[in-house]
Formats: sequence, structure tokens, C-alpha cells
Amino acid sequence: MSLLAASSPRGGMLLFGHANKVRKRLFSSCTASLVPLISFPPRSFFIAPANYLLFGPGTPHRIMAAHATFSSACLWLLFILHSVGASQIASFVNEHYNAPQVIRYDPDTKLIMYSLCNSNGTPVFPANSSAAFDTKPYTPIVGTHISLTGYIDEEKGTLFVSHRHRFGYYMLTIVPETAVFPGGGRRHCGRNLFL
Amino acid sequence: MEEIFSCDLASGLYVPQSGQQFRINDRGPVPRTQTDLSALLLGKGGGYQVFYEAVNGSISSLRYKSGERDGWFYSGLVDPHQHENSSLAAGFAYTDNIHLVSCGSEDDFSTVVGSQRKDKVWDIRMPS
Repeated sequence: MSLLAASSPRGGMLLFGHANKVRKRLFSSCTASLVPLISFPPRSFFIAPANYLLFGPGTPHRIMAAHATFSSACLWLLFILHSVGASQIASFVNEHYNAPQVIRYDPDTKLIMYSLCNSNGTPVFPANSSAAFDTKPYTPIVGTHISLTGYIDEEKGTLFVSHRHRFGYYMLTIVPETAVFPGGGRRHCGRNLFL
Repeated sequence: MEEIFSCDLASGLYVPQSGQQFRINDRGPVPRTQTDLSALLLGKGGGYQVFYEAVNGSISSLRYKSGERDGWFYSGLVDPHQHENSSLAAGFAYTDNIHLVSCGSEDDFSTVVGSQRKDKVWDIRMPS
């Protein structure tokens, strides 16, 4: 059972889940005031009338995704995951490119892989070391949970990247408790990455 | 720890930048090693908020706000009840309206929904 959520830069909220029981309870308990209640068959993906995304099956772990705009204020992205723990994948919508920015922790390679940040429309997810964060020397522990959110900084984009928006990404994982951090001490701590 | 990566728009790859490491404030409950995590972006200029499960099973949060208290700081206890091995999900529609969901394990299913009011007090409910 896993849940993930992230905020959309325009004020929407994204939720991720793949346990049927969680879906029903989650939607009935906390979304009624935000968006119309939706339902969908288990273990299948929701086909949105306006937009549709599909990852795989070319990746080692098949990932399917769909997203839909239900109102101008709320954008929902739903991931149906196969063989991937939902807490080992995270995403938020890059609205400038109209594509989710996706990251995933691969327990086999111990890499945090990402979809290419210039993906336009459909995210490009190489699912190999060619698109993975360099997390050394603070490599996340095996089984780490990850979370992600992000922003679009139009002002900085105008200043530092000519006529382009600047995208910010924030990722948090758990690193080994033996890691040594600036300021001294060995403790549990998060790792945060953003542009 | 915080590290800056820039997006190479030509290749789509993230390039690590140097000299951008910050310390997370170590006040507040120690996170459980296998805690789930949920990060929020609190609107433009609002910084970030990260929810985690502490070793005692409670849910706490950290905040980051640029130029405030050295960046990261412990922002308080969200729910003192036990959330062992739970999944966390947080989201917000407006900067003063944060929603948090916690679900227990498959064998011991329970859902807790929390909403932060404008006075920053968490309203915790357990749906039937």
C-alpha cells in the first residue's frame, strides 16, 4: 500500500496510488471537496478525454500513467504501477512542457532515475544510468522512499535563461544514518535536490 | 542536505552544481529510517514543507523558507498518534489549506486525514 501526492504549480494536487482499498478510501475521504469523485476499474489506467500518457512497456518495470484535467483549478495525475512500489516513484507536472517530471528509485542499481527535463508532452524516461542523479557520496539507502515537488520560476528564467522558464525540482530521500553532514554529527537526514 | 542540479535543456539531463549544500536543522524528532516522505511546494515564495514519520510513530514536518532560520527548520508536530509503517501523502490547493493523508499497513488499515487551518493548527480526523 502506497500513496504519493504532490502539488501542481497552479494550485492543483496530484495523488498517486495503486492499492484499490487505498484509492476508494482516499478519494472518498479527502477529495470530495476538491474535485468531483471519480472511479475507475482496478489495475487499469484511466483514459482521459483531453490528454493521455503511457510509459512502457519498454522499461524493465512497466509503468503506466494517465493524466486528466478535471477543472481549471485541479490537475490530477494517476499512476498505475506494476512491479514498482509507489513510494519509490515520484512526480509532479511540469506545466510549461505539459509533461510530468518523473523520478524513480531503482533498488537493483541503487540509482534515482529521472525523465528528461526537456520532455515535451510525453515524458521520456530512459530507465537507465544515462538519466540518473549523481547522488554520491550520499547514496540513498536501499528501500528509501522518495518524494518530489517542483516549481517554475519565470522571473529567474527571464534573468538567467534567456526567454526560457527556469524549472525547479525538489527531491527528498533518506540517506544512510552513517552519512556525515556539514556541521558535524551522524544522523538520519534527508537529501534534497532542486534546480 | 541540499544540492543544486541544473537542467540542460539541450540534452534533458541534470547537471550537478557545486557549492550548494545546506544543513537541515536537526531539531525535532528523528525520522524513522523507513519513513515515507511527502514534500510540498507551498506556492510562490512559500518554501517547502516535508512530512515524515518519527521514530516514535508520530508525524512531524520540516519547513524550508528562503532567508528564514538558516533555511530549513523543524515546523512542529502534526499528529502525535502512532503511524508506524504508514504511507504519507500531502497536497494543498491553496497556501493556507494543506491536506495530509496517512494510511497504515495492509493488515492494519486505517486512514487519517489532516488539514491545517489558517491558524496553523492541524485538524486531524479519522474517517469511518
